[in-house]
Amino acid sequence: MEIKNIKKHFPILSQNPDFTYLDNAATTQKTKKVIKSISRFYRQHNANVHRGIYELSEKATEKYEEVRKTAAKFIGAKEKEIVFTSGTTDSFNLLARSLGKTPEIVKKNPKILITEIEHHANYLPWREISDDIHFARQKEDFTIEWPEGDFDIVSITHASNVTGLMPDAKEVRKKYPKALFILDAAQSIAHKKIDVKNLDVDFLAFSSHKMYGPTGIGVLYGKQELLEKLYPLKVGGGMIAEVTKKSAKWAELPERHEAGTPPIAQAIGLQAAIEFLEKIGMEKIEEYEKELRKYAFEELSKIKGLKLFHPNLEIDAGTVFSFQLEGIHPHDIAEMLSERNIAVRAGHHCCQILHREVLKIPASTRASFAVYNTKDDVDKLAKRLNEIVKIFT
Amino acid sequence: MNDQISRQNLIDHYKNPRNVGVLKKATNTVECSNVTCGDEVKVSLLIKAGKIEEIRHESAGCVMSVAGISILSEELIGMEVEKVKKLDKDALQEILGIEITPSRLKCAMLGLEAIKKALN
Repeated sequence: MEIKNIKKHFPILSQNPDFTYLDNAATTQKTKKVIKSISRFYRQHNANVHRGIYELSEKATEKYEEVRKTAAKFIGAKEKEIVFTSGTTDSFNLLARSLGKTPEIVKKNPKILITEIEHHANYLPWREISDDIHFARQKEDFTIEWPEGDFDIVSITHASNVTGLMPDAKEVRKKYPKALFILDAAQSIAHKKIDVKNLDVDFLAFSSHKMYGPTGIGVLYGKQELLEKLYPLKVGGGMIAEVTKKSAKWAELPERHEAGTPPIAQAIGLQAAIEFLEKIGMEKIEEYEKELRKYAFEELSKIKGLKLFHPNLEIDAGTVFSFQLEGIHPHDIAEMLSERNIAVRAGHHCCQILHREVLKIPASTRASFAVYNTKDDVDKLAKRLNEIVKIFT
Repeated sequence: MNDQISRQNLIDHYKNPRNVGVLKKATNTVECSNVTCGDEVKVSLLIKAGKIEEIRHESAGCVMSVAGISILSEELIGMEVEKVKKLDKDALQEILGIEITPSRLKCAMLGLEAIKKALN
């Protein structure tokens, strides 16, 4: 599949050619096939999964488990290592709280290292199980200063949703070989080839809706031996081996961590999203977005009074550009862009620590690009930002 | 799309807000803020015979909040306190001469809410 003209696969984009969607770090648009696959599932295959001894349920189960295979293959994992959750936030809540009940994996009140640039989803859940949380500092060039020392858990972003920084996960892993190493891949999954074995990551989380798939489903990857030991935090239907009045035995992987009816239709949608990414090829996406990042970086840097919170081009980062325009409130910038049909986000982007305590600003404006965005979209953004600067001077 | 911010009147009030400062002889004062976006406003009022005689404000934030309070500081002079207390979103839209979108309602309402709070 060619990246050129790829907008035609996305109904919202193809039906609104004058709409410039640059809020992809919040959620991406969905492909026609993703939308169709969900509707087809409800029309033709809907039944609950597992243990329905009739054809429709068997078919639904087969389709649901097929998605697990696809997701596993996509990140270089085994099927059993894929736990479906409702999204990255859910994955982190499940993981942190489950680890808090699994002393076989990590001691009580573990010493945890995160960074100042983490999304609240990779900070607040850890507070639930530890008061010994350490923040790796963001340096002037937007890279991270990795502290010396031993940590029980090192949980970091694979791509920042504010600065776009993509830390070298393999290097970080090497620096903390004994720690439980966890990656928040919410912002990288649609933009970078991920191989969990190659990264030697213990757990990794991502959301379907940031990779052209539906909302309501995400993945928690975990190494098999860890997921087997991990306390099943959510209990109920579908995750047991045997229940008596006095006891309960948990099911094997992957059911062990998936209590209740799973998001079946959403999983089917995720399958179509992964197939879309694979048809283009992650390497091609990386290459295309690298070029787009360079162009956006250069064009935005030309705007008078614009301060970019984004690392220089020689540092690995994605297509996320948060910025400030001197003397203009981010909400005003976002609204005036919206007046020209350009969608961006204004606020702290769920990173209050980074905004208030590091950048020392209450909020920023963020334009985030995806594979369907073009240099033309960058031009439209830059043109309107220049107009906004003029209106205020 | 409505070009509400681009309207020159709002930008003018944002760049040169009217009635900035603190009233020494104020009868009512209040401070309000929008935590999510960092907008802040301090209002001092002089009430005489049940009417607003003077308004001063010190505000920091976006166009909607700063221009909003600036315009109100002119438009509400001479208005009966009881009438001011009843002003709502629709009345504010009329005073500002714009349609307020849902995402900017909090910003636009900040000044009016501050004044109403000061009156209570």
